[in-house]
Amino acid sequence: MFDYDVTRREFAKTVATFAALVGMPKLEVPDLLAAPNANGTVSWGMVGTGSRGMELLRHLSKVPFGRCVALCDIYPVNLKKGVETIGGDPAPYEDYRKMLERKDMDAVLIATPLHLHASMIVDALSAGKHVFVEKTMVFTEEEVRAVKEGAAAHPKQVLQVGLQRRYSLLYRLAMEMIRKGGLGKVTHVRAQWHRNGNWRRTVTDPKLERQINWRMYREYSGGLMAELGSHQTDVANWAIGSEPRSVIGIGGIDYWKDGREIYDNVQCIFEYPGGQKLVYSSITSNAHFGPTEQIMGDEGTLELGLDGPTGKGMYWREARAKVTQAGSKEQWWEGATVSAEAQQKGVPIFPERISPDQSFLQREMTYAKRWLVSRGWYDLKEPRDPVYNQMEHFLLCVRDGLKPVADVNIGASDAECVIYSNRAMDETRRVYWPQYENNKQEPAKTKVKKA
Amino acid sequence: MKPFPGPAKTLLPALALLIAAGPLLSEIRLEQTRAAMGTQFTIVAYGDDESYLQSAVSAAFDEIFRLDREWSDYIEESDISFINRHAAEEPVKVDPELFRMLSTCLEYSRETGGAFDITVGPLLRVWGFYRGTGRLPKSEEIKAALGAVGWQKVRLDPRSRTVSFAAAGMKLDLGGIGKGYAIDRAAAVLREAGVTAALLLSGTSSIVAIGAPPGQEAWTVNIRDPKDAHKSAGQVMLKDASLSASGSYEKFFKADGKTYSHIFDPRTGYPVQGVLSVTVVGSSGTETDALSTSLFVLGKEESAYYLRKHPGIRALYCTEAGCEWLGRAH
Repeated sequence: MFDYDVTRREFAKTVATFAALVGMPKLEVPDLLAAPNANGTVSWGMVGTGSRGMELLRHLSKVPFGRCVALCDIYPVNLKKGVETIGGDPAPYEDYRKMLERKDMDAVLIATPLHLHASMIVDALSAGKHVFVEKTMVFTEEEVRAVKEGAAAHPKQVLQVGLQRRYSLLYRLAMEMIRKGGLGKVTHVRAQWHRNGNWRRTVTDPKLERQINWRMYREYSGGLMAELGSHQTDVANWAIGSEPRSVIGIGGIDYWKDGREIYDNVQCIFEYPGGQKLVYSSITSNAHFGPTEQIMGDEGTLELGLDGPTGKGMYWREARAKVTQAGSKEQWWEGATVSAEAQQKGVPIFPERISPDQSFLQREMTYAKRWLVSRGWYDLKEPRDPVYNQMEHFLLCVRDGLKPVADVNIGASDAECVIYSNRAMDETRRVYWPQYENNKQEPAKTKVKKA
Repeated sequence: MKPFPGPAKTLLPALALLIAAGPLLSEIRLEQTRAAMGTQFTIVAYGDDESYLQSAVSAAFDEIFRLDREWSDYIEESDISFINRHAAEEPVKVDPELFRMLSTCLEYSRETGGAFDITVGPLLRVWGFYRGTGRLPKSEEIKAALGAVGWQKVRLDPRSRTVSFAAAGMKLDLGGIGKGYAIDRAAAVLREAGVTAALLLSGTSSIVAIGAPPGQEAWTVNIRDPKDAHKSAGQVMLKDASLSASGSYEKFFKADGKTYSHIFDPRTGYPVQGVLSVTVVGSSGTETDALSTSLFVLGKEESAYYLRKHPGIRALYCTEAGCEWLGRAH
C-alpha cells in the first residue's frame, strides 16, 4: 500500500482505505436492535469533584445508560458544584469509604489528587466496585505493584485508566497507519506539552493552598510528567509497542519561583528496548508548540495533537530511494512539470466523518456500529470528544462485561514512565526499568577497536 | 488518613498581603485577548497580584474554550453537532447546563413571539451566510428551509433531560446567545476568584462588566454610530451590567440593488430591513446577547412594547431616521 510515492489524491485514497479498516467494518449485522442489556443502567459514584472530575461529570451526564448515585469530595464548594453539574439527586459524601459501602453502586470513578489514587483503587476493588481512575494511575513504584495485584485479585471487575487518546478516533487511525507500515520502522518520537502560564488555581483562602494547588507539591504530585507528560509517554509506548528501557532527564524550577516544589520545565529522553527514543519536553513559559507528538519512521512522519475535541493529524512521506531487483525494462514518460508541493507539504489525516445529512441507510449503519461497539468488535461510532468516548466505554464495559481499552497494564507502564523520569531528573542519573537493571548493556552496541 | 495535612505549610506572601490590605490596592491591570467561537475574546482585570490575576484570567478563558468545544456547531465532535445529527431520529440526552441553556432559548423565543430562534441555521445556509458571504436564494429554497426552522419544533423533556426535533433537517445554532453566556460564565469564574474589577468582551458585540475600574465610577463604553464608525451614537456607563449590539453593518451583501443583512426574521425567512443597529443594556450577557438580535428582528415599535414589559433593560435603537433610547433602567 505504501510502496509508491504519495500524491495528495493517492493519499486521500490511502487514508480512505485506512478509515475503512478502522472505522467501516463489513456491515453483515443480522439484527440491528440486538444490543445486549439495552435497558441496563450502570449506577456509579465519583470521588474527587475538582476541575478534572467536573469535566468527567459533564461527559458522564450525557451517557444514556448511566446514573450517578453518589458524589464525594472533602471540599464542600467542589462537592456542591459536582452535584449541580451532574444533575439528578446524587448523595453527597465527605468520606469515600462511606460511599463505597453503598450496595446500589456498580462503579466508582476516581479523580482525586495523584497520591490518593492507589489506596482508593484498592479499596474500591475490594468493595466490589468497577473502577475508573484518572491518569496517572498511581504515584509510586510500590503502588504499581499493589494496584496490579488488586486488579488480578478481582479479574471480573473493570479497572480503566483515564488516557483518553486511546479513545480518540484520530489516534486510533494513526496507530493503525503505523501498524500497517505507513511510517516504515518507527525509530523516534518527539513530544512536547508547552504552556505559558503559572499552572496555578486561584485560592481565596490561603489555608486551602496545598489542597487546591496540590499539583505544585511533591507530597501529592508528580508534576508536569504526571499531569501532562503521562498522556504523551503513553502515545509513544503505543506507537513503539513497548515500554521504555531507561530514561535520562533534567528539570528545574527556573521561571516560576513562587514556592512550588515541582519542576516548571522538564526535558527527558526515554530509550526503548529496540533502540527507539522518545525526546520529551514540557515547559510553562512558552505555548507556541502546544501539545503534540511527532512519530518518526524511516518511511514517514505523523504529527498528532489533541488540542480541542477534534485533534489534528498530519502525515509526511519520506523521500526515500526505492530499491528493486535490476532487469525489468526501463520505460519513461515525459509530461507536464509535477508540483513539488504534493510531497513536501503534510497531508491531513482525519478520522471517519459522519455527514450532517445522512440518508436512512447511513443512519441504519450508525445503529449497526453502536451494536458493534457494544460487542467490543468495533471501537467508536462517530466523532465525539474522546473524553466522552472513554466515559461511555467505561460504562459499557461495566454493563456488558467488556475489557477496557486503557487497562491496568497500560496504566502501569504509563505510571512507570512518570515515576522513573522524575527519579532520573531528581537524582541526575540514567534510570533503568527494573527488568533491565541487571542488563544495562546497550542493545546491539558496536564495539570500537582502539587504534 | 487526612488527605491534606493542614494548616497550610506555604502561604503565598502576596496573597497574604492581598487579604491584609483589602481592596485598597489595585495596582495591576491585566489584559489578554484570545480567539474562540470564531471571534476574539478580551478580558481586562484589575488586582494586586499579577500571578494570581493570571491564574484567574486563564481559568476564565478555559471556561470560554470549554463552551466553544461543547456548543460550537462548527466542531463535529461538539454536543450541538451531535444533537443536530441525531435529534430528528431519537431524543438525545444532554448535560444539565446545556438543557438549561436550551430551555432559556425557548423561553426567549416564546417571549419574543419567535423573533429569537436558535433553529434559524437552515435559513443562514440558503442565504449563503453559513461559512459564506451571502447570496440571493429562490423563494422555493426559502420555503423549503422554513420547513426545518421553528423553535416550537424543538422538544425538551426535563424528565429524561433529552432534546429532540419534530422535523428532519433541523439544526441548532447558539450563535445568537452563546457568546453572551460564555462571558457570563467567565465572569462568574473571575468573581469566584475574588476579582472585583473586570471587563469581558466577545468580539465587540457583547460586554460584561464586573464592578468598575479603580478610581472610576464605571466602565465607559461608546456605542458605534452605524452610519459612521468614527462617531459615537451614545455612551453607556457599565457597572455590574452587560451590553450587546447587533448591526446590519457587520455582515451584508448587495443584490438587485438591495442590501441584505445577515440578521433574519425566522418567521418570514427574509433578512430584516430598515434597522441599522440595536444595542441592549441589561443585567447579563446571555440576556443582552439574545435580546439585541430579537429586538432587531421585532422592529422599533414592538421592541418598545417588549421593553415596557421588561423594566431594567434599555436599548439604543438605530434606524435610518436616527438613534433613540427605548426602555428604562431599574
